[in-house]
Amino acid sequence: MANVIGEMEKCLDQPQERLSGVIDKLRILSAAARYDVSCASSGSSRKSTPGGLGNVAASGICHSWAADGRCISLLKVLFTNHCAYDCAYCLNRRSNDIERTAFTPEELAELTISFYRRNYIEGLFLSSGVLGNPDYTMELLIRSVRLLREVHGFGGYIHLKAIPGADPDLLFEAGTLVDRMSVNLELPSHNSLQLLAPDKSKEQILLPMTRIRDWHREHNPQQHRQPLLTSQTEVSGPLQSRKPFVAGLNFVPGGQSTQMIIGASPEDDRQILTLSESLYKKMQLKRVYYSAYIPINHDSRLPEPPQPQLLREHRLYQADWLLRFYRFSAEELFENGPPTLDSDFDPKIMWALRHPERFPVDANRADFGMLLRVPGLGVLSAQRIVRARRAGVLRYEDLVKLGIVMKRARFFLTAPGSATGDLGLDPHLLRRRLLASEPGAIKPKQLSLNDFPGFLPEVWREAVTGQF
Amino acid sequence: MNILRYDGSFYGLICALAPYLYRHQLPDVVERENVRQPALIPTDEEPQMISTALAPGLACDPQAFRLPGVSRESWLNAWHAFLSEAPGIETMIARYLLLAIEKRGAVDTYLTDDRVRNINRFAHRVLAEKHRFMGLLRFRNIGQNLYYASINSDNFVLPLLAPFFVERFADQQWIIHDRRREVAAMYDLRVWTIIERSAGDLPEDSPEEDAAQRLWRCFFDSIAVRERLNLALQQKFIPKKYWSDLIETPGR
Ligand code: SF4
Repeated sequence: MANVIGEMEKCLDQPQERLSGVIDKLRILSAAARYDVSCASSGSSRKSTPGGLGNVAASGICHSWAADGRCISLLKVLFTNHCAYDCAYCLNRRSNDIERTAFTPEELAELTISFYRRNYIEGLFLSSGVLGNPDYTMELLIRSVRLLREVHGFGGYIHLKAIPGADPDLLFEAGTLVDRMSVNLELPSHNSLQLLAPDKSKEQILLPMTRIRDWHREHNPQQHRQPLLTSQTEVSGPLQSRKPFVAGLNFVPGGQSTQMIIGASPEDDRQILTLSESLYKKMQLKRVYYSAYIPINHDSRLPEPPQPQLLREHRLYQADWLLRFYRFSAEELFENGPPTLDSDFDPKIMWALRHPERFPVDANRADFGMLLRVPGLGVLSAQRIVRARRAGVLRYEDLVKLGIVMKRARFFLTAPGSATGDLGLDPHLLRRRLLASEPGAIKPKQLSLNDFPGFLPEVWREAVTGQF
Repeated sequence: MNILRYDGSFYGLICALAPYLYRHQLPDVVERENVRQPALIPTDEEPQMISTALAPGLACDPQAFRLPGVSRESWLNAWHAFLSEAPGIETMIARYLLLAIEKRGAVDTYLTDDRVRNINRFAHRVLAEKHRFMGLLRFRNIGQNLYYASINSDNFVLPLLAPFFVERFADQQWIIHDRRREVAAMYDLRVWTIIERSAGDLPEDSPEEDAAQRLWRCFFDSIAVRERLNLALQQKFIPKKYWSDLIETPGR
């Protein structure tokens, strides 16, 4: 830990060059944005203009991985950490005494370009506290991205956080300049929002979301006629596949996403995932991000859990994945069991354990959808099975040859040559066999705070911030 | 004994191989002369971007690429596998193409056949490294609108990387230097070509470069969530062999 802090001081060096004044701002405003998780640069694809700078690759590209093991794809910063609001969970809230600063649109555009040209990043992820009022803040953000697009001719990826309460015309204008917009839901229910983010109302969040959805529909009609995923095509995006960029006015071609904080309010996993599902279906969101709540402000309205619910966050992401790519519904995930995800197993195994009647699945006969439900089979493995079995009957050894990891799948998938002792087990026995066969599978070690001996309480203070 | 010699390019290999394949035969030995050509496979996309000059004197029947039963997907698989430069890859390609002819276009459903698996395995390895470098490659500014990147890749990914960066950085001149193979891809705002360049030929950074690198290191260090420090995971994603060519310093 001391190392990391020592390293941070590097940022304080004052080089003589043109961008030197920016380095302190970058230190403060990237640290302030670090807890924002919605940083994937996929969901959009754009050809570069002939002879121009930048495009958007359909497959997300990580340019580095930070010391926390997370992918760095975008220059993720706040425009400013000044804020007129006072959300309980946020470090930037008005009532906190912290070092505050703001970029100018010019600085930000130049910084982005200088990183992009060196292939450090896919583009920009821009969020902000509320400087003065929402409209003024939104105008500054628009100035920044307009500079990038129009003066620097930047064709790379831009994700912009919409400031709740900003004028719809400003929202629309921003949407024509960027690849993705997001409005953070923050807390998974209306009541929790009322309590913990008194300056934001549900309407303030849902209304812009609805508008963005409708504008997106209107200006990207081709994206709304996509079939559900099939076994033949590459799978991408929630419930619909990606289409190449079409010239003309494009409104957030990469769609919109949102983020919610987990563990600061009492909703259970089932409520959270049901909400996500309806956001995917009704709001046509591309991604919902979950962020384990880390208490940084001492506030009587907030719980002080001993440690952030990182394992829970991880399970929610896995379950969310099942909603988007594996044709599960939130309701069936929780059938025959409690409304919480299993901490021992990923949600697919959880579902399989709750549904012994659906297994084992015959590798040679099961349809693609059912193959997707087999624990241990990913989309790629299921596609390979469907393709390879056209050439002849697949035996157990053939499954291994296809590169399928049978460690978990062998209990659920059958083919000539399967060990019969692995199949048709009673759920309790199966549970034990699964736990025994992969003791390291859950890796709670990776996810627990107690494993960082040099942990400094001060770092907690920086925990949740810039949630717009 | 049938000894097949080719010039080191994929195009050259197929030219030399085609007569055997038409007779449903395999050469006993394939010998490679170490010439690297950007000449890849005929492509209908943006042909003007790709230099297809063949080694002089190499006669090739353009029909070589019209082998019956070899689909575009199979050609791509074979070419990608070829770029692994694995020992014996030529013979694996020959076997794969023979099977393709035999199966009349359906070869890629035979995913459990070793001839297909080998090719897929090497092709996958090459594409995975290409994808990795799409992100990890770092350009340094070495002059007015001139950028330089140096890589040391296990596979010959340069012919795959170059078109990607042509599309992305069309308005800047750049050089991507493959130090291991002592070649470089050069893009001059119009076309890209692969030329020889010795491993020690490393250019000086421009005066602005240092400030940009400093900013990047600052960002890299401050974006990590310290409550979640996980260096093992970080290293899993960026194996140590790539560290020396990065600007940032992983592992702390
Ligand atoms: S969450 Fe956003 S609006 Fe609320 S205090 Fe933080 S920066 Fe301000």
